[in-house]
Amino acid sequence: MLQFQLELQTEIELTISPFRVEQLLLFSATFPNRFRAVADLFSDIVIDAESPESFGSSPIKVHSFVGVKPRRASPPRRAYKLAIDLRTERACNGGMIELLITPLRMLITFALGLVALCLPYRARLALLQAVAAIVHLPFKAFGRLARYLLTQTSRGESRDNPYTNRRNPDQQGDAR
Amino acid sequence: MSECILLFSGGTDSTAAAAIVAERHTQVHLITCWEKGTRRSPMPTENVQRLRSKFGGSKFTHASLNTDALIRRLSYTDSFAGYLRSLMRHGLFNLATPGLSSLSWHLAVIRQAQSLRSQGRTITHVYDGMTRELLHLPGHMPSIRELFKVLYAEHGLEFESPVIDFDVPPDQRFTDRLIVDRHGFAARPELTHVERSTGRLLQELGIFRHANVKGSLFDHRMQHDCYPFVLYNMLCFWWWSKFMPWSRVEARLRLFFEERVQDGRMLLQMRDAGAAEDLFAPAKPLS
Repeated sequence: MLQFQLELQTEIELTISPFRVEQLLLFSATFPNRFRAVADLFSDIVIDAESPESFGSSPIKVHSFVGVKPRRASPPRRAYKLAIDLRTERACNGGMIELLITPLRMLITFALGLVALCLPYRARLALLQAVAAIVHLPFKAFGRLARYLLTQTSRGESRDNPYTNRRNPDQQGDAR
Repeated sequence: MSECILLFSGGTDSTAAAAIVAERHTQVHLITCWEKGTRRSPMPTENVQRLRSKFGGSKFTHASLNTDALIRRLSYTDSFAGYLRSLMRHGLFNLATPGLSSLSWHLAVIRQAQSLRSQGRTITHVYDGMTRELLHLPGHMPSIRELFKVLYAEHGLEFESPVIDFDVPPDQRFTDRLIVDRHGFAARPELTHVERSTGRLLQELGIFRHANVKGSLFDHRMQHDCYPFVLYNMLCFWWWSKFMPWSRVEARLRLFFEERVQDGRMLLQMRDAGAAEDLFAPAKPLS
C-alpha cells in the first residue's frame, strides 16, 4: 500500500525538461543497470514521440514514471528500483546544488579541455594522469578505510573474509 | 580450425571471451596493448595462467604490444598543420582519447596478424571482450566499431566480440562491497543474480571462484589503468551533452573517427611498403 502511494505521488510530481531527457538517455545508455528504470521509461516515451527532439521546448509532464510496465521483480528489488526512481526524480527536477554546480563543471571541463588540446603528447598525458589521480583519490581513500574496517571486524571469525588484502581471494575457500 | 587474435586486457570480459574462442580455434594469440600512460600497470598474466590450466598450456600465446607511437600519431596527425586543421574541424572531439587508444590497438593487431601470417599462421579472426557497457566510449559505439570492422575486413580478418550479448553486471557503490557476501548474503540481491554475465560463465567453467569480483582486490590486480577516460568522461557528461543531443555527439565522433581510421589505413599501407616502422612496435612475448 505504501509503495502504491509513493508511486502515485511520483507520477503526479515528476516533470522533465527535454534537455534532461537527453541527459537521462545518455546516462541510461551508459549505465544500463543503474538507470534501468529510466531506460524503461524512455523506451515508452520514444515510442510515443519518436525522438526526444520532437518534444519541443516546453517541459514534459511524465506520467507513470514508476510502473508503466508490470514489474515482475521481488518486493526488495522493487523497493530498490523505487529508490532509484526517486533519486533520479530529484536529479530530474534539478535542485539548487545542481544548478550551481553545472556551470562550475562546465568551466572546469572547458578549461582542462583547452589546455589539453594545446599541450604536446607527454604533457597532455601528465595532465590526464593528474586529473585521474585527483578524481580517484576519494575512491582510493575509501578503499583503504574499507580494508582497514574489514580487517578489524573480521578478527576472531572462523571464516576468511574474501575482500581483505591479507590473502589472495583466489587461494582461499569459498565464503558463501 | 584456424587461429585467432584476442585483444586481452586481462579483465573478466576479455578472459571470458578467451574461454569462448578457445573452443572455436586451435590457438588463441592473446595481445595486451600498453602505452606510456599505462606502463606502470602490471601485465595481466594471472588470468592467462588460469586459462591455460583450464584449456591446456599450448592453447594460448600471450604477448604485449606498445602502441604509444601510434596513439601519438593518431592524436596529432602527421604535421602541425594537420593537427590545426583537425582542431578547426573537430575542436574538443580531438580529445576522444579512449577511442584513439582503441584504434591504435586495432592497427597494431592488424599488423601483428600480418606478421603471424608471414610465419605461416592461419589467422582468420580478431576478437575483443566488448559488452554493451560504457557505450559512450568511442571504441564501444556500434557506429564506430563498424569502421573498425571494415578495416579488419580489408585485411582479410573478421572482427567481433563473442561476449557482446552477455549481461552487464550491476553497478556497485562504495557500501555494497562493505556488506556484500561476508555473511552469505548480499544487501542488494541483484548484485549476485545476473542471469548470463561473463563472470558467471567463468565461474561455471571453474576459472573464477566468484561470479562477481567487481570492486575486489582480485579485480584490481587483473586489469590496467583507465586514465584516458577521465577528461573524456567530463567532456561527455559535463560539456557536449549540455549543448547537443547525444545522437549528435555520436555523429560528430563518428566523423572524427572516420578521418582517423583513414589515417590508420594509410599508416598500414606505409608499413606494408616498408615505411613507418617506428610506429609499429614488435610484439614482446609475455608468458
